[in-house]
Amino acid sequence: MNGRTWRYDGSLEGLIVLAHRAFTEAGSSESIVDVPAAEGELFPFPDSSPHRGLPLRVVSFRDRPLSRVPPLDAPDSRLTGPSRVAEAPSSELRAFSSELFDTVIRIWMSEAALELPLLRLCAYAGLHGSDVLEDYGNPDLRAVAGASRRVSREIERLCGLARFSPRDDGLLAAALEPDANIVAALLPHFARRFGHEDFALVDVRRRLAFARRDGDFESAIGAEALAFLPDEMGDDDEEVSLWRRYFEGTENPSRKNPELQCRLMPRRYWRYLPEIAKRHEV
Amino acid sequence: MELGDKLELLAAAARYDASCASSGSSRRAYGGLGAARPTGVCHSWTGDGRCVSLLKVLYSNACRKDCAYCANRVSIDQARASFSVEELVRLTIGFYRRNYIEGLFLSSGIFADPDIVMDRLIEVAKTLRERERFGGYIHLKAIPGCGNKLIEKAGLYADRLSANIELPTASSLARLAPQKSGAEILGAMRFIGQAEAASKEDRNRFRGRRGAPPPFAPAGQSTQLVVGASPDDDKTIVRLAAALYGRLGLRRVYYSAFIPVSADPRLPVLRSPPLLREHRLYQADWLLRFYGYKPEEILGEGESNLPTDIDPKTAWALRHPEFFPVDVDRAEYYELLRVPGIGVTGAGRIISTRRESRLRPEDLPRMGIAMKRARWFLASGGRPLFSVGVAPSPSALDPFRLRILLADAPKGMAACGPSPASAVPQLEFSFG
Repeated sequence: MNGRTWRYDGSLEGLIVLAHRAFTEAGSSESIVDVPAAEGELFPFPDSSPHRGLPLRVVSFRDRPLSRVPPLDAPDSRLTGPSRVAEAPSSELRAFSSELFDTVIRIWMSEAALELPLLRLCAYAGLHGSDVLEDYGNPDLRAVAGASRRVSREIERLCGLARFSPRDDGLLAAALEPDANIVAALLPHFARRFGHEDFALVDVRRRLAFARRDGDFESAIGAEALAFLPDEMGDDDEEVSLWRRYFEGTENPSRKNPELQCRLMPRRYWRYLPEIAKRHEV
Repeated sequence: MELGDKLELLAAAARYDASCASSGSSRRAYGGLGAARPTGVCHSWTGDGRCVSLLKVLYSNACRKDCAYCANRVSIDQARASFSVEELVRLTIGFYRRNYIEGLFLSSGIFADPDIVMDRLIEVAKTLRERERFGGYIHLKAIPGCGNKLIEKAGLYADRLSANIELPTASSLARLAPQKSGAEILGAMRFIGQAEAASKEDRNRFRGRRGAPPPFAPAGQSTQLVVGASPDDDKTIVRLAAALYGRLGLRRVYYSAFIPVSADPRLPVLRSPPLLREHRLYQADWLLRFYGYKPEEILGEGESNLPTDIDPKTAWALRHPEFFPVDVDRAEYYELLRVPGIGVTGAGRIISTRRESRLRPEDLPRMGIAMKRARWFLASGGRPLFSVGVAPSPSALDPFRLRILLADAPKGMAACGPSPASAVPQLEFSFG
């Protein structure tokens, strides 16, 4: 354990393996410290580091978008289960506490530099039991809990705010620009919702897509991901215009409260919402 | 009339129904499109800040009745329309595929005998479930006066049923909606409650085994009260709500601020809808459902209406200085729940944190505690939190001063309580 450096490439699997190691191997949560990577350097060298001699070091390296696509081994399992390398650590973490396991995944999805408090929390939980996940006096828990809640909220919101348009081949596709890397987490919800229908979820900003076609799940990145979207996003087809008529009818002018509307449905989501995008020229 | 025109008209006709919940049910797909999940999903928010979760429409806005407060009353000269079963099925499936909605909330004007109206609503739900294999959420209105057999049938297709109680006293109902019968409305609600309980019992016998009968309205039943159309006070409404939760097992009571849509000498003249009053009633409703308050605690002796300047929980706290300060290091869960600024989540976090480590006052804001309110009612280490970092002042806990400090009239809501001259009516419905 002494002097060991744990390397992390920014992937979900990498973070799960590290979380598991912190949980099982770290002597104490204080033993986990960060070693910032020098510019252009893949990993710092612990021997030349000013932190040399500390028992444990963590390096985060976060700019490899390819490794950010979680594999789709089991789309119906929780958050599209991680690949084989992380299988055993995932099972063990999940068996210990599903809340801890979900937190690891949500922190990865948040894309926030919170690996350090997360790993310290895992180490602390490994030493003191899962009850520490309810100790809001713990600064590491506080640090990760906020980001984890934001990710959960984003997943909840987009379960409702994703808007699907049919392609000529019948596949229903939704374009999204979520705040966090959560598109994979939406997959189980929509797989359940759409029965046997084919569908695709496309994160336009990160150029990632997850789809189900003929019962099989697939993922894509880059231009291939964007190719899941229909040429026209169905802005003016009959269904959209009926939906707009419904939305206009259901509004109650005597109760108008646009501030509340914006608070509940921030403007950053409006672009893909046909009931509101046109009206407000988003 | 074209489908789009009809849709806009019948959506507008249904917009006074406050409920749009799609929660409380868990339903796997029937082999077709759709599933329901316990937490529900919001798909949009209208310009009034209300969540859109369901396609909420009337089957028809034609109505035989002439209820003074209703936008669809027979005496209003306006366009009337009805959907066909196929149109509603098409809209529900089409909108669901686009992820605009979680399902359908279908109500109707009473355009014919209640049995015929109920039968139409059931036909829509049946077509969705049986022909389309639709597994999304369905909320059906139980039409008061229809036969119990029809309600029984509706409950097998719907996730939720509701019968609107409309007004809190029989005398108000007789004055403003003379064609409606309180006994019929309560009869429908009572029957739904009994059918729900019987269904649960039947299904429990099959726990873990195949062949269980389908659930009856698994998301339970709800109802709605119009607030401000009659002189009934908040005390009457809160007591009625508590009885509906306690004795009839309702999942939700909704409150809808009266919006004048037609001139009628029986109705009050309001400058604006009583939205603040509606808001306070929802706060009181939460105290009943989640915080263990009794109706007589929410409105004490001699009080008929909820205050408009402060929320009902703060009002209770200011009436009970002997209960405070609550020691954050030792208080029980139910005591923490009585502290303004501490909710169910915050109280749970305080308790669980105390089990693990020493709670520091500076941790409280990070645990979701609204210290602006809570600090006046909490103590830690034997010292009131409001005095931390400041010189203690003997006037700090003066209730009058605190009331001004804690006033929170919500923005954009019109203050409009009932007339102080209103007689205090009795709770006239019988739940025996």
